Amino acid sequence: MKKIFEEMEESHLVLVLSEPLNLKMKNIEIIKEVTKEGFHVIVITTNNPYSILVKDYEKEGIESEKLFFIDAITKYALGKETEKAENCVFINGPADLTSMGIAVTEVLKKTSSDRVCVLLNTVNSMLIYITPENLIKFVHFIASKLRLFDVSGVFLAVEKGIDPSTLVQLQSFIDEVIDDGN
Amino acid sequence: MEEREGDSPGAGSRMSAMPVDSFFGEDFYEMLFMNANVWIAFIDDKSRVVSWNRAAERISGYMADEVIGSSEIWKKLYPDPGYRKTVTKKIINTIANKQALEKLETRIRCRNGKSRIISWNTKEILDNSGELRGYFIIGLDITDIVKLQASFQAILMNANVLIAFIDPKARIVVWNRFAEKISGYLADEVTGSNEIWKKLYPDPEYRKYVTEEIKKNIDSGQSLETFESEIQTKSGDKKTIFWNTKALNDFEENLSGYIIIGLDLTREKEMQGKIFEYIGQAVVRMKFPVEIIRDNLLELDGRISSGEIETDDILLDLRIQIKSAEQILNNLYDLNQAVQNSFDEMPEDMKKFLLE
Repeated sequence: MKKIFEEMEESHLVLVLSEPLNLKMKNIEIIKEVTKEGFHVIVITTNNPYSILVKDYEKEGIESEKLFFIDAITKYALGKETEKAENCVFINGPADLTSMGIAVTEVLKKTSSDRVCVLLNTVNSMLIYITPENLIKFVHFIASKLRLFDVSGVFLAVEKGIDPSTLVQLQSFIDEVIDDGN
Repeated sequence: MEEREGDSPGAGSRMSAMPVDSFFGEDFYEMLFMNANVWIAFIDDKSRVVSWNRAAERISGYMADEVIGSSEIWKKLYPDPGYRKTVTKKIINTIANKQALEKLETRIRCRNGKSRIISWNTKEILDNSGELRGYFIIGLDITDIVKLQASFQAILMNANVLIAFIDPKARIVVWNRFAEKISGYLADEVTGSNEIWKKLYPDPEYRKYVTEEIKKNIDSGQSLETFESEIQTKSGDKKTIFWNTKALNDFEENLSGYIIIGLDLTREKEMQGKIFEYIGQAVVRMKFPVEIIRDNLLELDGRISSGEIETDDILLDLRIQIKSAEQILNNLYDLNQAVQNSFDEMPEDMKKFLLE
C-alpha cells in the first residue's frame, strides 16, 4: 500500500477509511508521516479535543510547531470559553460550519509554509451533528478551498461508518480513497 | 327497460316444419310441454291463449283455465298501455321479418303484483298448407340472473380497484369508476378505443416494455399476477399500479378479451420509500454515531487503564460523549417528527409517543 505522503504527492485530496478502533493510530500515523516530509498540518477535529490530541502527538514525537488545530468539540462540550492556545482556534460546535469554514480560510491565508496539509478528524463524527447533505456541502467547500490554495487534504473516516450514497458523493470531490481494511 | 334481440334463428325455426296436431298428439310431448321448467305457451293468430303450461302458471300466477281462450292475459301481464304497445310492436316487426323472435327481454307484472323479467323466444307456426296457426312461445324467467348481473355490475363498477375489460385488440369494453378515479379518464372517453394505453404510457419505450411484458405472460398462458407499472394520469401525476390480467374465452374457446384488475400502490410505494429513507437516516444519524460514542468510550477506557490520561481530559472526553448522546436523541426526535409528518395513517397515540 502506498504511503499517505505518496498519495498526496500524486493527488491532493485523499479520503482515508480506517477500522473504528484503529482510528486514533491511523490519525497519528498520518500526522507523523506528513510532518516528517516537511508538511505543516492543520487538524480540524470534531471528535477528539485539542488537549488530548496534542498530548497524543507529543507522545509520538510529532513536532507541535508543525501543527495547528481547529477544535470544534471542546467549547461545545464544556459549554463555555476555553483557555486560549497558541496553535488552536476553538469553534462553537461541530454544527457551526460557517465558523469552521472561516477558520480554515483564515488559517490557510496566514500560513507561511508552502507544504501544508489539512486533516479532518473525523468525517463520521460530524454526522452526529449535521445531516449527510450538510456534510457533503461542507466537504465540498473545504475541498474547493484546498484546491484554491493548492493545499493537500486528508479526510479521515471510519470504514463502513458512512452510508453508500454519502460516500459516493464524497468521493466525487476527492482524488483518492485509501481503505486500510483492503 | 332493456330489450335485446338475437341475430340468428334458434330452436324455433326447426319446429316450424313440425305439424301442430302431431306435436300435441303424443302423451309424451304433452307431458314434456306441461312439466317443462320454462314458460311454454301457444297462442293463435289473434293472440288468444291455446296452451299454457305449469311453469307459465307458476311464473305468472295465472292458471291455464283463467287464460285459455282469451287474449286478456297480455293486458294483465303488461298493464301499462305504452309499454304493452312497445312490446307488441317489437314482436310483430321482428316476426314479420324473421318469422321468429329470440331473447326479447320484457318485464311482466305477475298476479301477485311483483315484476319478473322474461326472455322470450317466439316462433310462428304454420299448418301443412302454409296458413298461420299461431305462435309458439317459450319464456325464460331471467329475473334472478338480471338481478345478479345488476349486482355484479354494481360491484364491478364500484369496486375499490381498477377493473377493466378489453377486447383482443386492447380496446376498452368496461372501465369502472375506480379506473376513472385512478386514471382521471372517464369511461366515455376510453370505451371502444385502445388509445388510452398511449395516454397512460406516453413514453414509447416504456410502453413497448410494458406491452412486451404483458404479451410475454399472456402468450405463455399465465395470468399476469405480479406485474407492476407506472402510469401517467390525465393530470400528469405518476401512479404505481399492480396489475392482474387474465384472458377470457367464450363458450367456443375463442378469445373474447382480457379482464384487468389494477391495484393502486402509489401510496404504499411512497410509504415504502419513506420507510427506507427513515431506516437509512436512522443508520446514518443514530447507529453510526452510537458506534462512534462506543469506540470513543473504549478508547477512553484504554487510556484510563494505562494511566496515560489526566482527570481533566477524562472529564472533557466524557462530556463530549454526553453531548454526542444528547445530539443523537435530538436527531431521533427530528426523525420521528419527519416520520410523523410523512405518515398520515399513523395512529394518534403512536404519533404522540414518537415525540415524547
